[in-house]
Amino acid sequence: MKLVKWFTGSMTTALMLVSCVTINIYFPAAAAEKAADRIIEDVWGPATAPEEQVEPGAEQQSQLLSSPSAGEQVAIQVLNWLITPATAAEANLNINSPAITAIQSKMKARHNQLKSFYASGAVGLTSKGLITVRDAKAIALKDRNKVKGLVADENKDRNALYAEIARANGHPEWQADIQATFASRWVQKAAKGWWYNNGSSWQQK
Amino acid sequence: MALLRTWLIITAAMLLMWQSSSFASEQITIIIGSWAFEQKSAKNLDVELFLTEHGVGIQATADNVTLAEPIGQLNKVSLTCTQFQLLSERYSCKQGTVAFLHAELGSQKLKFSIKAKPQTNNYDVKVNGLRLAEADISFTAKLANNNWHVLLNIPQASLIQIVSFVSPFLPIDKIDLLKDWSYGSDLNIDAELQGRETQLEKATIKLIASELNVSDIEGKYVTEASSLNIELDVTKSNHSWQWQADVNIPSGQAYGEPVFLDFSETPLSLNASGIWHQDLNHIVVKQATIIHVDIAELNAQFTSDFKQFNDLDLTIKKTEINNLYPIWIQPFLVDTAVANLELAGQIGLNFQLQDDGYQIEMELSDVFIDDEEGRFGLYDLKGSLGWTTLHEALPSDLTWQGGYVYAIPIGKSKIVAEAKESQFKLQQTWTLPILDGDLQLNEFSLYRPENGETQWSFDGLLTPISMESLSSVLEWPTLHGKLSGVIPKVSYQNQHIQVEGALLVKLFGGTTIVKNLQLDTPFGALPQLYANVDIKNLDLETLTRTFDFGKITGKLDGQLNQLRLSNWQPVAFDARFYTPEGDKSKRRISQKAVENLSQIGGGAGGILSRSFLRFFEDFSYQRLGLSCKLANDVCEMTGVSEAEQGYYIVKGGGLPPRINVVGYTRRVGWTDLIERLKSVSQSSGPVIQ
Repeated sequence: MKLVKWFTGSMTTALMLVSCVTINIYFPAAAAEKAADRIIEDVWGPATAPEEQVEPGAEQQSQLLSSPSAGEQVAIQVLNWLITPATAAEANLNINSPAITAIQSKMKARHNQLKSFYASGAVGLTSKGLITVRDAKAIALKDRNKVKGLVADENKDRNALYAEIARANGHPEWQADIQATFASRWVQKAAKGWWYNNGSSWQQK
Repeated sequence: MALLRTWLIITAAMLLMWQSSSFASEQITIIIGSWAFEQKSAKNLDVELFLTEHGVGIQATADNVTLAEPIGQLNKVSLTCTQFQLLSERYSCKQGTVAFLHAELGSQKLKFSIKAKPQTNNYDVKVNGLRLAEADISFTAKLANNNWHVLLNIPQASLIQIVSFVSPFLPIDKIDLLKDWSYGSDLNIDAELQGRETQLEKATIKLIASELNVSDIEGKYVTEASSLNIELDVTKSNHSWQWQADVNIPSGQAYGEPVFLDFSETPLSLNASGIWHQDLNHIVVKQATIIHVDIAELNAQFTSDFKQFNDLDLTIKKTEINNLYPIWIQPFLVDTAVANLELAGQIGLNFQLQDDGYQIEMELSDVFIDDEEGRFGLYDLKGSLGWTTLHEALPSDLTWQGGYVYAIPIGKSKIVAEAKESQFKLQQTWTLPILDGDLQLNEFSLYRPENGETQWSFDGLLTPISMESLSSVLEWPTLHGKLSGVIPKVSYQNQHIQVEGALLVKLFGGTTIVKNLQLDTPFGALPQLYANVDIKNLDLETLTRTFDFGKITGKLDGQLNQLRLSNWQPVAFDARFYTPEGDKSKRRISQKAVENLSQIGGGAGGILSRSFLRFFEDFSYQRLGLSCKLANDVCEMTGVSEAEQGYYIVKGGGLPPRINVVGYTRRVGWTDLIERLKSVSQSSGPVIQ
């Protein structure tokens, strides 16, 4: 009887979970942050900011995502049994593919040209993990189109990078999560004095 | 204009007033408490006349003098003339000064001379030292029978001061507009104005602006240290103005998003003439010629209501495209496939804007195009290319001598097409030579809706291309065979190319069929290619000879499903290659091939050569096969069937000596595997049974 009760209880939880499961639960947030950091450190080099405390909100979220409560764990195990384990397992995020490497090295080469514009505030980091011309007046007239071209190319590569990481890991639907993870890591790793947009206004590191 | 007229009236009025209160006497002083005449009045007027060497002198003061609008009231007025002549029906003052305070003009002290015949309304006035907007203004004015003629000179004025001086007279929306701009310049103005009564009828204005620095708040429109010479002639006829303008910009820089111009390197001049219908607020530019030195010469005609162009006809004379592109074309192409080109040759262009649409016609001569990233190129382009949104068709006839797309060269070709209503259609089959074959395009049509994405489609035929030439340009090992195909439809939309139908590759004695071919962002940051490939009856002997793999005889079937190339590198697929069921061919595998196969499965080299099996040159096998599921840079491998703790890559059979090759490594890094395929690597050896 007890067993039946336990089973029905668990099944209810499981079904409830089924009804509210989204793929985000299995998005490897912590792994994505690590992957993003590796790429950002490579692209930006040592000029970026030292590692800082992760924002509490983000940390809580990743804990929530990677460490479900005991009750949920049981339910997830049942889920794993009900649906295929491969779908439910927390995935690793692989960033070793020739395409990712190629794009990363293009971004790295471009960073040498963009660096001074981040520092002058002419170019800022957006809340979407991209960059934009923040203050055109800080750029000499003759350089404005060059900078606009660099920004467009960088954004093209960044969008391609986020899409490629998602695809390479067999989850094209993760692109938005990957982009959001990168967005916060770019800001986190930005050097002092660089500008970033927090979604509503420009802030300086 | 009003200002000049005002001054003319002031001076004339002062003298008129003076005239009406003077008497011939050695020294006369007249004190009038309050005086008024027609629209003029004065308070505490004190007039003193005296005799001088040259005739009569006059000195007058008043607490205030009120003159007709727009001058209004002058305070603390004093007037002196030391050379005054009063004759019958005329008077003159060769040298005089007048000083006063005025609400808008401030404190003024002017030098003047005047010759007047009041009865015939004939005046000749010269004024120096008028201070307005911190500029020193001088003018001469002649008034004869209500016709007036003014020569104005402002040798040095500040744009900021002029704007701040005129601001109070501007409508509120114009003042708000000015707040969003910063501006500054030194100006030199010469003007000749002619008119009748209160109307201006003809004007010639010469303006020299130096150190012109203008910027809007966002920095989208900026000039820096520019100099600008403007000469403008306007003549009134009925309710419109005939005008003619010459503008020269010999130095400085300007940025009008997204175009940057460095006038010091490439000066710009404009010559234009037309009619301005003042009452209709409508301008007709009969002709405008812009010469951008060493870059382009542009001729245009248009009409406008100052909000948009109507009936614009613009022609750029044939010019060197490598000069035109970086300044006038490239800035508009950021983030497109043609954003960075190396160009040579000449281009001419005509653009016509009508009420219901527009058309563009380009003439190309000896044009060479190379993408800086080496993705595509076209050589020796000649002919015309047209695009129109209008109903009337515009023909295109374009030829080129060669080119390339990525590593694949394309040959001499000709397009005969027609544009109509935002659609571009072939008029005859377009044959594009690719290596020793052809891509024949029928029914090619390109459509670009207003504010929409370009889309195109065609159906076609790929006549056989030899794999020898294809593998050579792609720097692959030499392959033998032919690539061909019937393509029912290729379509492009939203950066996505979809190839319907199948491409057939006759390769290694078998057939390879490429299906479901798709391309995403073909010229983007990471082009993506998707396809499914079926392989039938490949002759292993030819294949292994080609790749110098070690001889294997027999046949091979296979599938390469869900293939994805990212940036032309394989990143995912589900591949399986195997001996076909019921294969009747002779199946032998050489020592070298066994060694190599075992290495692919994670084995070491040299095992056979160290065992007794080295005495056999080759072995018979029943089946061989290998599959690799590539994802995440890892290849999950299996063979033809499962073995104890591993899988069979080659299963022995037939006449002895037989051999089994068993692989143990199930997960291999893709990069590793490629390395293994390329060369011998070290690992645990294969099990030879």
